[in-house]
Amino acid sequence: MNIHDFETVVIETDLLILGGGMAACGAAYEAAFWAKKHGMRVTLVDKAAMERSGAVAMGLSAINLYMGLDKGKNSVEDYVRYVKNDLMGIARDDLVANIARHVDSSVHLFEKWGLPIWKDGQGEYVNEGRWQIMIHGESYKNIVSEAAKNALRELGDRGAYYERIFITEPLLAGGRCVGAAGFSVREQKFYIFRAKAVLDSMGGAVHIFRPRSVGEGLGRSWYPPFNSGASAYFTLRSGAEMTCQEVRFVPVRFKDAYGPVGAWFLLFKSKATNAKGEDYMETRAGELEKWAPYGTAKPTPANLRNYLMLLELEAGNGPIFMRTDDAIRELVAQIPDEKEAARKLRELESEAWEDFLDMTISQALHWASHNIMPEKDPSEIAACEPYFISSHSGASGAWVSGPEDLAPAAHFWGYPNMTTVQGLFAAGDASGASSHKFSSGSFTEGRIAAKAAIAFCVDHPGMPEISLEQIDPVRQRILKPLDIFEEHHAYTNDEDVNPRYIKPRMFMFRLQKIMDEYAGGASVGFRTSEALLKKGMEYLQFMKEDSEKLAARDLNELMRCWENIHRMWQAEAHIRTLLFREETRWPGYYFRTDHPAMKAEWEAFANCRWDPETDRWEMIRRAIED
Amino acid sequence: MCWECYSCVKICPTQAIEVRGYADFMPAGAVVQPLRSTDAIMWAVRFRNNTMRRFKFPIRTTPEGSIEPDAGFPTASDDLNDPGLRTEPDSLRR
Repeated sequence: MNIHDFETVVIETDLLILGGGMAACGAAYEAAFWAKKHGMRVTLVDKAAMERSGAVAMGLSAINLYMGLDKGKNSVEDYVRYVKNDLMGIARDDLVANIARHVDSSVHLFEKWGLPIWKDGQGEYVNEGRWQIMIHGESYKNIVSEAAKNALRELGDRGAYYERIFITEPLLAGGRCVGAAGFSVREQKFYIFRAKAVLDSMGGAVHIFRPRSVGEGLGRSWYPPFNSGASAYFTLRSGAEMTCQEVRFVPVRFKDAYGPVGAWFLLFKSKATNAKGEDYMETRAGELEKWAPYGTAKPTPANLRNYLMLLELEAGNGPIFMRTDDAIRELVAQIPDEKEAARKLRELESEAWEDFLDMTISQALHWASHNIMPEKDPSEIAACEPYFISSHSGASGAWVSGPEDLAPAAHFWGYPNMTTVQGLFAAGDASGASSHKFSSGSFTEGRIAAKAAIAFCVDHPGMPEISLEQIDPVRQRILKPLDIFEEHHAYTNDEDVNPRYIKPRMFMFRLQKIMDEYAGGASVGFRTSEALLKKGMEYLQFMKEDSEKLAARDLNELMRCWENIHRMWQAEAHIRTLLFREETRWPGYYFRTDHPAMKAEWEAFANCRWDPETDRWEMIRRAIED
Repeated sequence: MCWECYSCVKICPTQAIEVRGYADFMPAGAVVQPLRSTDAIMWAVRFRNNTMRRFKFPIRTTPEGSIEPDAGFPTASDDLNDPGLRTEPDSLRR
């Protein structure tokens, strides 16, 4: 594939939304409204097809953030307290509160748009847990994307969305983000999007650490494999300050196929036990006191629940089981009438299967292939590999401004959700320190960021200039792997084995091996130390050099090359921040064996920034402000 | 790499796609097959031991393509610098 055959397409807009998942759809929905009032243009660019793109592609069986503020069920303060405790004190109150005060509006819109939400006899939403409501969510994303597309349509020719274009690089001018560059994954087209403001919402990062399954099941990651760190790369390369890059998430899920555990723990009140049938949350409760005040508060933080389970495995008490059989038996036993009890059993069985079929179909296949009936047999659960997902129980993302009415002075710099780079906004997995947004909160944060970004466009009406001289090197750099392949592939008979270049698949495996073995992956029980991290960093620097030799035979491999460069940058930010924070704060996510306890001086944010001018990294400690 | 999201299986107009489990950790023989319409999805689950289970779940309460973005909620704020979002405050109440 000759890079000279690529057409360069230049698109000009006012607000450019990057991504097509929940946050991006929320952004398009909100931006369209405010853009219409102010004569602005909105353009969304998605790597895939919006109808099924992002982490909600498969569907969901619950909305994990619904406040019920109108019924006085909870307060915003309750939620902030819950989130902050789950993250061991590391969260931005202003960002979490901003999402919480708006999120019910998004959920009510989803229902009106056609999302079936479970109701009780009084027509009220059925809560799974305190903040979670149950849905029939197979088509959740289809519905939300239809609303976003229809909203863009209201803008006429000022609203547009582009699908199957992979954004790989920010465009900067005068310390401001003025657009993005990428390429079509279907045609030989190089794209330049020029904009007054850019909203980064391209998801989290998966496959940075070696997964538990490395054969065909490599793709059966808990979070989708197509979330490859594009968001973090984009903000890092823009020179934006990043936060919580050490706060990865290690979910505990049904083993191997990674089916959700939320409904089992919360709705069905199931217990997890070791192989002897002991509930380790009870037998190891004493361990939680070492992690006070967070460990002794209720509910127990997710990372500590993981940690107690890891201690069980270390003690040789595995496998760990979700006692689905006991849970269902107990629920049915509460019904004295035999016929009614049989009906209840059928209902529970259907609900149990729907939970998987709505959002992790592989887990249903896993049950069927192992002849497991949840009402009769327990299922194994296990800790997955680490993920970067600030919308769930991780926190890694860009350091963004809070809203003026909620943020302390140090957390407000003009526009809600604007990063430290002028004109660059972030939402969903792209913004950090505001965990537990989930699907509804990500959509809501996209709305908040988009309204602010339109305000930025109105305040900065001039279209920033981008010169041809600036675009040419970006084009050369992005398409270079195709050139390398063309130049060298004839040197060997097998195009995948060639000393003159490296293909993206092996590049990814190398990254995963480094991260797993040195940065505390699943195979080493999530343990690491300064000595290991420094060695990992040394190997990562070789990778950075070799990334110049990545080769792509076609557009698909070109996409894989860039996905893995994005992953490599996320990996570097992670290792640097793991080194910076000299303590262990989330022992179920990672454990620093050389600093095995929490330290008061680290009751702080660990931030970092890569400087595009000097190619240097800076580590920054910032105070927690309530 | 395949996430097994089944989007291709659900959308295929001739139901031509069948998925088998990942051979590196799933025993052979089971099939989970969807049939998706505009308002519901039906699942046929065949176990390795040939046990069958069938389920039907609703997926949408409105016709495809019918979504009106505001859903009848007015927007009170006209100010870009106000925290109020599109459809608020009315949409905050159910």
